[in-house]
Amino acid sequence: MSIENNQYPSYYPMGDRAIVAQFENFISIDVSRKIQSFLYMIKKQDIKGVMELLPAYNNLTIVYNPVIIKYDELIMEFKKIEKDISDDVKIESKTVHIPVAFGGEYGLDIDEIAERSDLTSTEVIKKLQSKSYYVYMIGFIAGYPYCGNIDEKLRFKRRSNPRMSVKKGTVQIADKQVGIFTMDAPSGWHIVGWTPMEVFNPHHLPPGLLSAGDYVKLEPVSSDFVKTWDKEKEKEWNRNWNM
Amino acid sequence: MESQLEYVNILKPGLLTTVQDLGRRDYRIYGVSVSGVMDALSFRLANTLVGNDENDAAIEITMMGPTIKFETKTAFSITGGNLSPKLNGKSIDMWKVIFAKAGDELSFGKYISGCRSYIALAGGVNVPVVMGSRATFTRGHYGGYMGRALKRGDKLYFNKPDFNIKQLQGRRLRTNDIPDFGEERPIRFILGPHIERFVNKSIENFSNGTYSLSNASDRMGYRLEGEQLIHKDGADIISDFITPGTIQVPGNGYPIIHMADCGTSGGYTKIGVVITTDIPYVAQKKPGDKIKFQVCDINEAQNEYRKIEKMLYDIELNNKLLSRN
Repeated sequence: MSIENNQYPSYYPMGDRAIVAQFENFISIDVSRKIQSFLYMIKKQDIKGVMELLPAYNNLTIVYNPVIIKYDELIMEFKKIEKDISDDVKIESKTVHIPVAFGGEYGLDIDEIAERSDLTSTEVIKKLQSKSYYVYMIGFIAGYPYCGNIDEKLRFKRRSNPRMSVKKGTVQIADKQVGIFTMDAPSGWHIVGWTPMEVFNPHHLPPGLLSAGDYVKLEPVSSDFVKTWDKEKEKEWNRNWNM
Repeated sequence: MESQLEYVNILKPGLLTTVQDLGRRDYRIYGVSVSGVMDALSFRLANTLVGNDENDAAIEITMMGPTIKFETKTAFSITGGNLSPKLNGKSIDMWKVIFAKAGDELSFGKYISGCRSYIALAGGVNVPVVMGSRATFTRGHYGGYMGRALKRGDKLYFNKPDFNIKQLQGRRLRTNDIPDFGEERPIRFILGPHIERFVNKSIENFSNGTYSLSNASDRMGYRLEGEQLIHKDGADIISDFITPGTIQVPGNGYPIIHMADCGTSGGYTKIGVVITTDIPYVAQKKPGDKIKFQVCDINEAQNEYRKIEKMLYDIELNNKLLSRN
């Protein structure tokens, strides 16, 4: 299916070495698939000077070398192919099951989320584990998977005062999104749980467990389970869930 | 068989001394920070001077330099900010090739201009490649020398160059090619993408504004103090990719310039992106320093980019003349 109107994508510069191709400004899997489609088309075109293709929720950032191709020239190349963008693309994808200890010491903001959404903490946790989440993009500092969409009742803006340091393995939510921290870093999202599973390892290729287009399912486990997690348990988990 | 590896000894580590190269450019798709040098211009010139590939690993030092003992004779160069380099206690020139013999000690004094210098050793620093790069990413504890800043007692190995270092005798940069980090110059940036998210007055104030660099600044980001910027309707955006040089404005209205160790994506409005050729001049600023911004259009930015690349290309041609083993 081709897009009827030609409003999208629109283009703008992101500094002097990147162009952003902007699609519809909301989070949806259809928009994400169009972005994947455009990414694939540009890759096939093999345009000289194009260095990186970085898909996000609703835009594609194209990093290029301005010695080889200039901003206006590159946009002309994109305009030649954009009419064939489609949301009907086949993306190779997998579902990765991840063990999560929700609430308590591992999910500091669960009670607040419960209060604001007029649910009990147990109901919040139940909603979070009830479905698989689509992986829209991988980003932040190191392999952070941006996934969605979470239940409508659990959607809140980021905290106005971000925490200076949030622990690796933290499962957190903001707006429609859910993500897993792959290293200690500052964060303004709401903390709901924690996983001992290594979602990112710089010494593996690819370094991350997840890619844009995959699905992730959060499986609730006890705090005892995560406390005794080790290499053996990880192997066993992957045998049972991720093979 | 003769060992192919030589080393230097870190006697004093300095404030923040790390092994860096041009970073992990092809790994952003995996959400991996580019990291690498803060001031790519000085770094590339340092490497080129000593006959290295411009992406060979070298040492980045910050404000207070280390004391380093050479265990074998070698050639090295120092570029970037002027942190008063000395060899065996005597001042040495920057932006030229210097020869050291075994036992010589390199040290630094007070900072005169800029805040980061680069020490390139002929042959390049030898550390393992992690995700396509030798750059240290301290926040992730990977890359460079054991994923951390150098400490007293570290032995830093470097490769034996594949040419006779005597050929480097007399090499120095022409004065015209040396960046001046002491000079006052505006930092140029390209407006956007989210200018429509700010009140007009704020765009105007920022575009001609002067900000100072806060103490809460590091290799990841420079936090700026000055005129507070006002959003029309909040600071949140749907997260997308950012590059070093991106000027993000979170809810508190104070801009942050993303630097080498920045994340690959973010969820706050971006008011502009510093042009590539001016990032080294930002990188040489230290807390308390002023930054005066100036709007630049994309054509001018790309012409400047091409000019610098041409200059670097011409200088690198000298390395084609070296006779290699």
